Amino acid sequence: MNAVVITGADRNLGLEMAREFLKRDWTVYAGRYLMDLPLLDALQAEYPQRLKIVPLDVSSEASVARAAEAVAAETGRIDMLIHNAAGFGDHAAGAGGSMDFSSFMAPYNINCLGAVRMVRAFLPLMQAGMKRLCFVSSEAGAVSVAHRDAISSYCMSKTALNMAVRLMFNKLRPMGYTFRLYHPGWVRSAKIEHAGEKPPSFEVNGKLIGKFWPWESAASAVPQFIEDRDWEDRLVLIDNEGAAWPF
Amino acid sequence: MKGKVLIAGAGDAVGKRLAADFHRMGYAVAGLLFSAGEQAPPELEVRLEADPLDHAQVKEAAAALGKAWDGLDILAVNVDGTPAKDWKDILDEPDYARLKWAYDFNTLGALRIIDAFFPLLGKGRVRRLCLVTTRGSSNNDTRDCIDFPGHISRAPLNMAVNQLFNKWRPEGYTFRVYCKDPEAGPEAAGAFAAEYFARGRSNEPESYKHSDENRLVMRDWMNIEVPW
Repeated sequence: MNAVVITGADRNLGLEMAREFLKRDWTVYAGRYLMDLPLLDALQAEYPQRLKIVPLDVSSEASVARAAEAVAAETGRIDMLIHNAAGFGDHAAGAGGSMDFSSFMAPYNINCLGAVRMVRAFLPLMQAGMKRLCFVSSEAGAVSVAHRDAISSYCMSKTALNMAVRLMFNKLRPMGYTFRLYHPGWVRSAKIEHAGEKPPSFEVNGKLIGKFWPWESAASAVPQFIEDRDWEDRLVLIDNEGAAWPF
Repeated sequence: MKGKVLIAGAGDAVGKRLAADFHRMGYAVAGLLFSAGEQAPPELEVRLEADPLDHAQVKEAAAALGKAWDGLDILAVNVDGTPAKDWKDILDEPDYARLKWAYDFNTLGALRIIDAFFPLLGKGRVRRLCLVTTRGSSNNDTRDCIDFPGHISRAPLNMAVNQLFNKWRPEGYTFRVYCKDPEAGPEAAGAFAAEYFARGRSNEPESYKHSDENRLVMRDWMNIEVPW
């Protein structure tokens, strides 16, 4: 039976991916950051044998190490790692003596360094598996099609993630690992709000553009993550409709 | 005098080359040094000092330049706290404190400088923002599997500069992004940068379509366009 580790599985994209993998008879190690959010508990009631909930804060080396130890205590093989956890951060103004950078480190630490921590910690468990590393990124990190006109810590963190994945790809692809870099489309991921947090804005330059997907659409990632490609030697950002995005 | 240029990061080899070349071209040159220990280029008309990690210090430096000059034509941002490669790859244990510092210095430090000096740039005649980076900032072009601090701090700065371009190009500001040669010795470091930063408009003068003004491009020391 195949096994996947998913970060940020508490809700939204991560939760729906976990549900889809469970439907496909995978064992899911679901990283849980929001300990008082009950959605994973409800899913575990449906799949008590194959959904394993693992406390996980990807911004902390110690937490990631503890999670890896907990998973290793149950299995010696993980087939797939999905780094889905994300921090949104703030948009800042476009320069002029008034920018506040105090919140810029958090999304970088979660979205980019979190991916590095997870890969580092779980690589030993992946040696015997299908060796697939999946990262939920975004068109927001694609520099050549950057269309927002306010400096965004979120966009910057996704650009940094794409670069980190590039460096990992260059090292690990020759070692047999395969990669998925995924843009989920514009998903209303704040449907499940928590602890009074401010939902992210879906406006770009003050306007609502693009087509928006229900959060359940995240399940569409799963076939892309599972199925093999005959072009594994290329790192490409692919969206939920299968379209390629430039970096 | 052709104009007024501030080189933020005037203390390293690229900064010194920029100062010398701009001075030779007839510009008045101000330089921002990042520490007291850095040697200032001899061409500086105004010498400033601030730690890019300290937004208040950077704003004080901008205020000091505002007292000396009534405007700024070209702001050249040359922030590189990680000139030497970190040879670790993903199989080696990362230094997460170093990774965070690199982002704070190279990325956010550059943005603190841009933020603080931007009002003065708005009072200049040319209003040109120039960035010094490396080909290693390119998500398309990077062949490395090492140097996480260098790569993942420079790539997001490209995103931020693109977003600044989207905001300010319609207001008449112009932009240049230059990739220095990381292998260049002191004599070759920063070659072509001042010429590119001062150049009037397009890489191909007859071509509006290929103008560097209305699309943001990154060029290296050989004038070759580098994909983002």
